[in-house]
Parts: sequence; structure tokens; C-alpha cells
Amino acid sequence: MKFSRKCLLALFALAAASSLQAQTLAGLQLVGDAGAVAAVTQSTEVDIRVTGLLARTTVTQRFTNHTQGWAEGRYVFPLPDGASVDELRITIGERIIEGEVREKADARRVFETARAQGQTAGLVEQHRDNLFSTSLTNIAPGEDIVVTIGFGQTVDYRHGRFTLRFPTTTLPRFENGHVTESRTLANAPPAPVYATGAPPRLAMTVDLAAGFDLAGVQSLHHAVDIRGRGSDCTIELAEPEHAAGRDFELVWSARDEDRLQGALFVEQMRGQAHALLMLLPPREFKPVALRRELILVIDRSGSMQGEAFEQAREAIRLALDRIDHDDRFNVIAFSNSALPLFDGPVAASQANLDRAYRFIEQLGADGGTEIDAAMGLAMAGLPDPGYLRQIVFATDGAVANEAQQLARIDREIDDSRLFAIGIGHGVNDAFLNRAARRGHGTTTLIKDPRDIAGRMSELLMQLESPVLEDLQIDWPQTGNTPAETWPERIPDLYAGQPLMVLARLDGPASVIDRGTVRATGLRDLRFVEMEWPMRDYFSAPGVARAWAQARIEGLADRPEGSMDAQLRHDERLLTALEYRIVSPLTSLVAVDRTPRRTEAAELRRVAVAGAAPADRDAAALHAMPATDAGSLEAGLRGLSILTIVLLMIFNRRFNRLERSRREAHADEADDTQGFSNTGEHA
Amino acid sequence: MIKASDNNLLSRLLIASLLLAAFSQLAQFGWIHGKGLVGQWLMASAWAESDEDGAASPWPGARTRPAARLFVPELELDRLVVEGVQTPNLAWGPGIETGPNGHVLIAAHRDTHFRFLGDLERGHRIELEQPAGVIRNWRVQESRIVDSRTTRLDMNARGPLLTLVTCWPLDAIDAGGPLRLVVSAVPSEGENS
Repeated sequence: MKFSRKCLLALFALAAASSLQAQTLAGLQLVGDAGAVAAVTQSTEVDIRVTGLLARTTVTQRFTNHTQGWAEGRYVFPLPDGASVDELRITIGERIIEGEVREKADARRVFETARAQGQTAGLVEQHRDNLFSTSLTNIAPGEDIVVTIGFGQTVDYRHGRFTLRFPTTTLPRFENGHVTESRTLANAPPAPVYATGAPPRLAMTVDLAAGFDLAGVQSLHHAVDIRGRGSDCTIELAEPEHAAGRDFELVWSARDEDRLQGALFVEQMRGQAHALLMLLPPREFKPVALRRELILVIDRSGSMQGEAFEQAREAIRLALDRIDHDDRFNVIAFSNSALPLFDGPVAASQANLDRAYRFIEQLGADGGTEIDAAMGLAMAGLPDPGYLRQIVFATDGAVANEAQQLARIDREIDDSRLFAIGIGHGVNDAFLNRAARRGHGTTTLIKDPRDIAGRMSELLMQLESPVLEDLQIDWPQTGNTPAETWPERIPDLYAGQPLMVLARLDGPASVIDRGTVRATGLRDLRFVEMEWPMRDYFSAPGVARAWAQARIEGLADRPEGSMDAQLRHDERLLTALEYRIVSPLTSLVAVDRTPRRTEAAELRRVAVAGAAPADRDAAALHAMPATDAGSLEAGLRGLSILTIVLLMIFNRRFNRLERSRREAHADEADDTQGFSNTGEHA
Repeated sequence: MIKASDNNLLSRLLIASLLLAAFSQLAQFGWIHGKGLVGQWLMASAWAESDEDGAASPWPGARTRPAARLFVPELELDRLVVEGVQTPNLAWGPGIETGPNGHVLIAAHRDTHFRFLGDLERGHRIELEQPAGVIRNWRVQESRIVDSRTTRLDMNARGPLLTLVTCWPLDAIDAGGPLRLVVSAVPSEGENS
């Protein structure tokens, strides 16, 4: 009974997934006046300009209303994690309507009013991490409409390879076996309808200005034409008709440098300099003295079956081969429940390793994706003193009860590092990024199952050789406000993996020009210091909005209870409005009329003190020395007694004075009396 | 009349004894600081006579001898460090102890030699000179406050690692509190041969 229900659910999920995957980019479907569903011809043009590590993407889509009535529609599209939409433009014939950023509910109200009043309008909303939707309404019969959406994103860099990703598919997310896609969008009428029929045309052009000599440009899943030479080139899709349905991934590389490099990018916005510091570590692995406790957590759900699981198995085998005998380790497999190899981490003795190899050999892939128990086991207890715990967590599933999982990581991660690996096209990479950020680690996304073994072992080798630990960055400062930096917790720097830190500086670039950016950290337990003068920066558009995006995400990432909920909401909203980007709290709305000026709500700003991290018990080997001579106590005691004595002496003096005065007085009285007596007597 | 003089005598006695107490306390204050100053001075002269075998004994029958010289250029500080972190030794100067794996621990009183510890910041340079004239450069990595009831020092920690310890808060009135200020420093890259 139970089994058959699960079977049904799985079938349903599979059907939903496959139908969505095939149709997502088919996008806009117009719903006419009479309620009839009418397909529209459309094309999609994607223009991407890459400057260094920042990419600016413009997506232009053309729709035609072939019906006899007024039409409206809506479509959902995924964007790379960390992307920030800041532009919406609707072109109808000669008229151009620019979108404006408003608070989400407000934007929807404006859109609905326009819809009711018969005005052409468009709305871009963010639904969930990297899922966005565009709604259009009141498209006149026979009208052509062009919708342009612009967004910024960062380019991924690992091991000398730069990767630009443009997702063209989306998968529903699973919440304990239920498909939640429709629920996410339930509040937004009309319900999304996906077009069927011929796949749409996707034209894509990438202008690449890498800033260094390119060693090779390659598209991983699409046939492309590449033109240009040196550091600049242009890439175009060779077969626009067959491009949809696969994520677009463009990879290029630079010459390898054997040392740690850094580059500073600055953009001025709203009178303040925004800076991006990029640290590129050398590609080579150089093992350092590090005692590790390696916890491998591996997804063995049914969806991993086949090549994906074989590759993951291979990666774990390689990890076990490389493990040092001084190290400790454990392997935890999970599907519907967690299956740990050992109850807790054990020494990497030959016997234990042999057991691990046998365990890996016997594992099969089956069941769902329940990460809860596995994460609990991975983070349980504290690592042995002197050991750094590294948890490597690989999954191909989507996690829906995110908030709960993240809260748990906040509570239990302690000083351990968490490295997330997302496999395939349907993984919830926003969740993995958040989890890894909280765990001071990184995320690795592997789209092609054939790459799993290679990329996973790459990561595992990385973990053996941190290039810089305990990194700290000091930004120049003119006034009293220190630079606001995101991420707040700077992760360690590993070979082949760059680090990007965004900051808003206290003042405009022209003033800060004289300062330097300074990074300090530990390499192989030695103190390392690097400096970049501010005047040597590269100017790069997109840095300010990337900072704003990081701030909005970062504030949401802060642990529950570390910040007043209202303040958190207000700060995020204010940032999105000020930097004019679409966020979970703001939307872009464009209405075909002269736009009235909007007044951004004045927001409460309250300073909150950050929570101090709790100290951990160290090894009980040497008690702290007594480091108090007690001189202050003695000195103060002496001084206070001296004060009392002085007071007493003063008091005695005063008393004596009083007494003598009284006595003098009494003597006087006696004398008078005596005199009169005498007088009488006389 | 008799009563008054009795009272007088009592209060005089009280004042005298309180004065004595006050002076003994102040003397203790002076003694601690004097010992600290004289200790550093004596250690300095013994340090000057040091050779490959280590420093000379600072005075006949001394239970400790100078073991290193600690400089903090940024704060213009110069301290002679003595052997051992036991309480009697700490009166003369900061005490040093080295773990088997290169963990160097230096502890001193917060009210005398390590008054400055709160001023050390990340990146500050610390120079440690050993008797043979070897100078080692360190950089401050972090400062933190720990509770000595729950935290211990791992002398087996894998070095090179330099830990400076003193009592916290630096200006507390009560002596012997549980908190400690722990400053960690690591060798600075490129500055050591």
C-alpha cells in the first residue's frame, strides 16, 4: 500500500518534471478574452557581455498576439544563483516603457490596476531564490510586443577555468515527495500555462572581454561559433533552433600563475565606492600540515542511479586512497534515511579504510532525498582537538524545507567546514550555496554526470591544501563608518577556487583613492599579508548591484534570532529599492502611461549589536597560568585604608577643635559668673 | 576626663594600626612593581652576559634566568622573558615555556609586564630573540578572551605557534579572576630565515 503510493508520487513527479523540462522556455502563452488558449510565435535573444568576472545579460523576447482579442500571459524562468534583475523594458511599436522597482505587493497592485484599466503592463517578480516570472497583460490583437530583461551575475572561476552559465531549464522542487512548483506560484494569477509544439528559437551572443589572454573558449552543451582573438572574442550559438532544454555553459581559461593573485574592481553608485576584491589562488595543489576529519555524505537516492552514482562511488574511492593515516574519517550514505559507515569519525587505519571500501562497493542507489538525518550525523559532536572537520555533502536532489535545514546548520556547524556538491540540472543550488556559506565552505555544481568523479576528486584534493586560512580584509576608510562587507564570514581560500568579497566603502572612489585594501591570513600556519592600492583598481559596471544583491541575500542568510525580523525585512527592502533590483521583496513593474514619481517609504534604522561567537573548550593539557600579581588590589586597598585614616585624623582634629571651643566658651561663662559673684561679694 | 582620654587612646591605636595596614598594602604594591622593574634590570645584565649555553644566572641562587627577549616594535616594548611560567618566576618578568611541537607560551602579570597585551592588534610584529642571538619574527593573528575554568592550553599543539597570556580584564580591581586574554601569533612569512 505504502509502496504503491510512493510509486505513484514518484511517477507523478517524474511526469511533472519531464513535461516542465521540455516546455519551460516555450514560455509565454497568451490567454485571450474568451478564455481560449492561443499559442504565440516568439523568439528569444540573449546578449551577454563579460568584463573580467562580471557578466551583464540582456534577454530580449518577442511575442505576437495572433488572436482576435486582447491577451495576457505569464512565464517562469530560472536565473543563475546570485543574479540580480535590474531592468525591464517593454517595446510596443514605437513606444518604450521602462520598468521601475517597487515593493512586491505594491508592484503587483500597480500591475493589477493597469490590467483592470486596460493598460499594457509588465511585471517581473522573484519567487524563490533563482526562480523569476514575467507577466504581461493587455496585449492588443495582432500586436507585436518586445520584452527586455537585464540582469547582472558573476562568472564562476575554478582551477583556471571560468564558467558562464545560463539556465534554460527548471525542475520542480521536492518537499518530502510533493511537487511544490504550483504552490510557489499559487498567489499569482493567472496560473501559468506552458506552450506546446515546436521548441522556440534561442539566439545567444556572448561578448567576452576576459582582461587577459584567453587560453581556450569552449561551450559544453551547445554547438557554437567563436570569433576573435587575444583577450576578446564573440561567441554565437550555431543552432538556435535546437538550443533550448539544456543549460548553456561557456568555459574559458587563463594562463596558470603559480602564485596567489588578486584584482580589485570598483564601481561608484549613490556617491559611494563599491569594491569587489577577487583573489585567484594558484592552480597547483600543495599539501600543507593539516590534521583533518573528513566526513563524506553521499546521496544514494533513486535519481542518482546509473552513471551519477558510479562516478560518485569512484570519487569516494579516490578520497579514501588519498586520506592520510593521521587523519580521521567517516562515510554517510543517505536516501530515505541515513546510513553511516561508522557511528562517528574513526582513525584512518588500514582496517577502517578496508571496511569503507567494502561499504562503498555494496551501496546501491534507491529511494528519496531526505538530508535531515544525514546532516545531523555529519555534524554530531565535536571533532578531536587539533582536527579540522570537513564535511563534503553531495546531492542531486532539491531540498524544500530549506529554512529548517539552514537553522540546523547554524546551530550545529560550529567550527566545521561544509562543502556542498550539486549534481545534475535539477539541484537546488541556492540552498547549497547558503548551506556552504554558513559552513565556511564552497559549492561545486556539476551538471554533467560524466564529470562527477573528476570534479569531486578535484574538490577533495583542494580540501587537503588550503592556500589561505583565517582570511581577514581591511578596507580603506575615510570617516567613522567601516566598509560593509559581504560575505560576512570570509571562507578559507583553496587552490583553484577564487574568492570574491564585496564591500561598500565609506566615501566616493575619488576620496578613497589614496587608501589600500589589505588582506591578511594564514598560509601553512604562517602569517601572510597582501596589499592593493585603491588607485590601481579596474572600473567595472555591476559591482554596486552585485554588492546590493549580496547584502539582500546575506541579511536573509543571517541565523534566525540574530537580528530583529522587522529590521531585517526593512534593510533588505531598502537596499533593493535603493539599488533598483528585483528581489524576494521587490518587483519590476512597467505600465504604459506616464509614470508618476514614487516615494520610497522611509524606513526605521536601528543599530543592533552583533552576536559574539562562543569559545570552544581547548585540550585539557595545561591550565592557564596565574597571571595576576595582585598589585592593583593591594594598591587600592592601601589607598582606601589611607583615606579612612585621613578621614579619622581629620575627624579627631575637628572634634578636638570643637571641644576646645566649647571649653573656651564654658570658661568664659565661668569667668563672668565668678566676676559677678565677686562683685556681689564686694 | 578619664573616659575621654581612654577614647583618645583607642582611636589613636586604631589610626596607628590602620596606617600600618595601609602602608603594608602600599608597600606590597611597590614591592610587586619594584620587583618587576628590578627583575627586568637584573635580567638585562644577565642577558648581556649570555652565550650559546644560555644566559647567566641573574643573581646567586636565582631560581630562574632570562630565556628570551621580546620586542613589539609598534608599541616600542622590550621585555626580558624568564624561564618557566610558575608564579614566583613571573614576578621578575614574563615567563616562557615551549611545548614539544614548537608551541611557545609566554605568560605575564596583567598589572606589570603584560599591561600592553590589550593594545596588540592583528598584524602587529613581535620579535623574539633567543640567547644565541637568533631572532624570530611573529605576527599577531588573533586576540580572544577565554575562561580559564573551561579552557586549557594545548602545549602539544603543532607549532610554530606563539601564545601570549595574561589576566583579563586588564584593569580589574579583584585579583585572580577566571578570565584570560590570549593572543596568538604565527611566524611571519618571508621575514624568517
